Amino acid sequence: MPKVSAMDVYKLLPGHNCGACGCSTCMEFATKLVNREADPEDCPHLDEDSLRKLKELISPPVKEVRICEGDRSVVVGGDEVLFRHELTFFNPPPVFCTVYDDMDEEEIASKVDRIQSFQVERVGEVLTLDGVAVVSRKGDPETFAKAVEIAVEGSEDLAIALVSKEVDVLRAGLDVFDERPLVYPATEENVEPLAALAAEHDCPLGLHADDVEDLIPLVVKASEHTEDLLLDPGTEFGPYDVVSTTDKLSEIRKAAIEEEFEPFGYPTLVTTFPYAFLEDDPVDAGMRESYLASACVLRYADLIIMDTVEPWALLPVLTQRQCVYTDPREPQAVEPGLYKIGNPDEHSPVLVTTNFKLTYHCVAGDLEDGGVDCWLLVIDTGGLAVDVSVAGGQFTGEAVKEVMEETGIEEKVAHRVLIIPGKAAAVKGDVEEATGWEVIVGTQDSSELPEFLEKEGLARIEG
Amino acid sequence: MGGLDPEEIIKSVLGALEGAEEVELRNVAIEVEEMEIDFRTAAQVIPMEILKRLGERKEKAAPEIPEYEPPVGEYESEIAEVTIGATKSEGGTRDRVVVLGGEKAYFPFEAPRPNPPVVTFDVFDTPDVGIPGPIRQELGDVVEDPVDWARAVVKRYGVDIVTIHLVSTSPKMYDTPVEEAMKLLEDILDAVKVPIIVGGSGDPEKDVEVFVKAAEVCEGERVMLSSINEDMDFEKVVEAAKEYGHVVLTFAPIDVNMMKSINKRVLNRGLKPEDVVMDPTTCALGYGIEYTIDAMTRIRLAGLQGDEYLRMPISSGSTNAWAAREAWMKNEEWGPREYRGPLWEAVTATTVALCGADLLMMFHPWAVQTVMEAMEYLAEGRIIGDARVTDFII
Ligand code: B12
Ligand code: SF4
Repeated sequence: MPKVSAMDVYKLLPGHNCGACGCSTCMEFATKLVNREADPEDCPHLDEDSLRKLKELISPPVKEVRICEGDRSVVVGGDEVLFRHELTFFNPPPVFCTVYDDMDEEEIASKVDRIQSFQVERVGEVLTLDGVAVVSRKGDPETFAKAVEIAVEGSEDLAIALVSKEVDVLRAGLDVFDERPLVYPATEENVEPLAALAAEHDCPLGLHADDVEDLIPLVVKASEHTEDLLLDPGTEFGPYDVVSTTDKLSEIRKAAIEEEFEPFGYPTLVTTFPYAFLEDDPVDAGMRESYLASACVLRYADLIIMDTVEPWALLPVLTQRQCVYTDPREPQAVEPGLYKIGNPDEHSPVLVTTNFKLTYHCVAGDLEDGGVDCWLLVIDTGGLAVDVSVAGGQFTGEAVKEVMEETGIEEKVAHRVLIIPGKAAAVKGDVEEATGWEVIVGTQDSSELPEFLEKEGLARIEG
Repeated sequence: MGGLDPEEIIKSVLGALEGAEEVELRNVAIEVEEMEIDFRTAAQVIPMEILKRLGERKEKAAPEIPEYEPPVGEYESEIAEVTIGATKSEGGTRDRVVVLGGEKAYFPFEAPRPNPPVVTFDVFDTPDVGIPGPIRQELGDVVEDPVDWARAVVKRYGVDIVTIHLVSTSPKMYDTPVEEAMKLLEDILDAVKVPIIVGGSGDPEKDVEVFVKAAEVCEGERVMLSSINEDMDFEKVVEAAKEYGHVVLTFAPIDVNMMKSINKRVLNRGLKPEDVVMDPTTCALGYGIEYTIDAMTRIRLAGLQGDEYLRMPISSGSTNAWAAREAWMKNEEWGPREYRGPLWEAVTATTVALCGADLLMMFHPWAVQTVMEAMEYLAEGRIIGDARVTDFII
């Protein structure tokens, strides 16, 4: 549960119940604020003082930090629970990929291009990368500045991180790009000048120490200059990488949320890119990076810097992120209704599926890949998969009949045949009875569906 | 005045002389950090401004480092320890036993796990179960014979426990007679000396027959019967497990209350928490893993907080990872499935292990080895290694 109750928040609201915030009552607005579904600024009747108090009250124990501006901007942190089932996690961790200033200029440009253009579609969402981390390997300001220039010019909406231990090098990078890039790593040795530099340029600063407790003096010193900090408790490399790194991140997050230990009330940062140097074989490096980063997504990483841009290595990480950061308070659903796949006409088959996002996208994707023209009737199961909703009683003849009537499918096709999923075989009779249409039970998995339609002569149904 | 705080001195002096333009001090030494002003040298006159600045200097001095205690939670209860397998001295013929559970806290930094999560290698009694291509390739011909398969995985990958899934007994598959399945079970017990998990086919009726007979055949070996649920006549299986001293795995589909319900019924029939492992369902990465994350986390927290019916180790069918298309489907855009598949399994298994799972059923060699190696550290505790990210940055 969120730490603050709606009642506490309510006490700070004007109590007019005027509806200007879009809620009919102040209490409703308070509930939304607690659930982070509204902005305190939406109530026009709050004076400055109350607004400030309100913001303080509902500000999450893990600060939100913005990196870069405009299209390049990403926000990290902002969590307020230790477990996603208690509320939800906020701000999926951005994944940055590295370029190094000792690479050829063309090499840098081409890697930046791969980072910028990376995309994979999953469950109706396009998974992308979020930033480029320019890493200094030479320690030479000019070389670094050149690499930053190429990275900025070759990208449109990617955030930028400037990675060097030397103030001069970072300063040269900031001369090229000054729109709030992440500056990293501030360590025991360089925290004072780096924090001053970050403050001067109004940039977020990433702190690095070897273990959790060593971060505390760094935070204290850096926060004299800036409050926009990220915490890297030292990613581990080796067979103990996953357990040790996630353990550090868990400790930090638990201290921040349950003990309200302020120095740890910042987003965390994980780096897996060193595997590119530690492993001889790039495949081994990619496997290791992927495994480690995916585990850290589960356990409180708020930003990840990777080297690999291989889709096979990134897919597990981005999928884990997509899953862990779905909001458990909301069903993962698409709108019920009638969807056209390809160019269906009155002789095209009518297929029935549920409105669970994953189910819908699997089925629609398979049908499109198979070049099928058909009508896809998506029934409302409250966002549940086929067998789940059959087991739970949401996949019924009535539910099918309802969308059929709403969508007027009767007028669109000349035949009276429905094809239902193999996993819904148990409700065949019920659907037949409720709709009066002939019902054919299809395959278990929708990937076999295009072939099934061909084989059974169902690709065109004469009325 | 050595022991007194200079700031206090200045404050009190300032307080006493409020409103004064100048202060005259004799025979006083005020130390402010390294700076020392010796007032004895002359009957000096210190302007108020200097005094003020001295005070400010003190305020701006090195900020304090707050006290820190790692946030170790207080938990009311411990997870039960369940032993699978029995050595000669315990009446069996295994060369080792496997101990699951025993956790005292949720996160390893609060208390390392007494027993690291254990990986069990899946062996099927028929290769016709749709073994994903990359795994078949890695395992080779041994999949043709379950006894070879079991022997190979113990030898090649050093697993401490093997699961033999008697899937062909399903009437929907080959309806292999119980006696035949038992013969195979005995052959496996002969061929490998690690503890064994006996898996059914998922058929609610046949499984009861298989498990009841297996309990008898495996007398003394303390196997785990995997799994029982409320849709079957599980009481018979519980009775057999009690009689012959085996462990049962209880199953529920991603639901804390259903998990609790079956456990309650099993424990009320006389099995002890030390005889029960629970499977709250593992959804693959990308195919509902978030439901499993929540269910396992809630179950483990409830167990640690003293819920008698959820205080048992957790098992995960991490092989379910292969239900996700991203694990097995050929797709150029996604890159080689030879890498994706094992990663999918390893990530699924590790995710659930971090959420509480104690036993991981797996079957891709790379994933098995990677995860086995990693899990040791849940018992060993955090390691700070030599390689640091800062070594690769100038
Ligand atoms: C995740 C999950 C849940 C989640 C639900 C997530 C969701 N939004 O649906 C939660 C935790 C809420 C849940 C609850 C329940 N679940 Co559940 N759940 C699952 C799980 C693990 C995966 C389901 C899934 O996401 N599948 C992926 C989607 C894409 O599959 P799909 O919708 O079936 O679509 C595929 C096919 O059907 C086909 N297809 C789809 N449309 C079409 C159309 C046509 C024309 C054709 C031909 C094919 C086709 O292609 C698709 C892609 O392959 C399964 C076990 C499993 N591994 O399958 C159990 C499972 C479905 N659940 C089960 C049960 C019993 C339940 C509960 C009743 C128990 C409970 N926990 O309380 C409840 C019911 C809740 C309710 N309905 O009110 C059982 C069902 C047993 C049965 N068949 O009777 C299962 C099989 C687990 C088990 N082995 O016991 N569950
Ligand atoms: S706008 Fe303000 S006063 Fe009006 S209902 Fe909303 S919270 Fe209450």
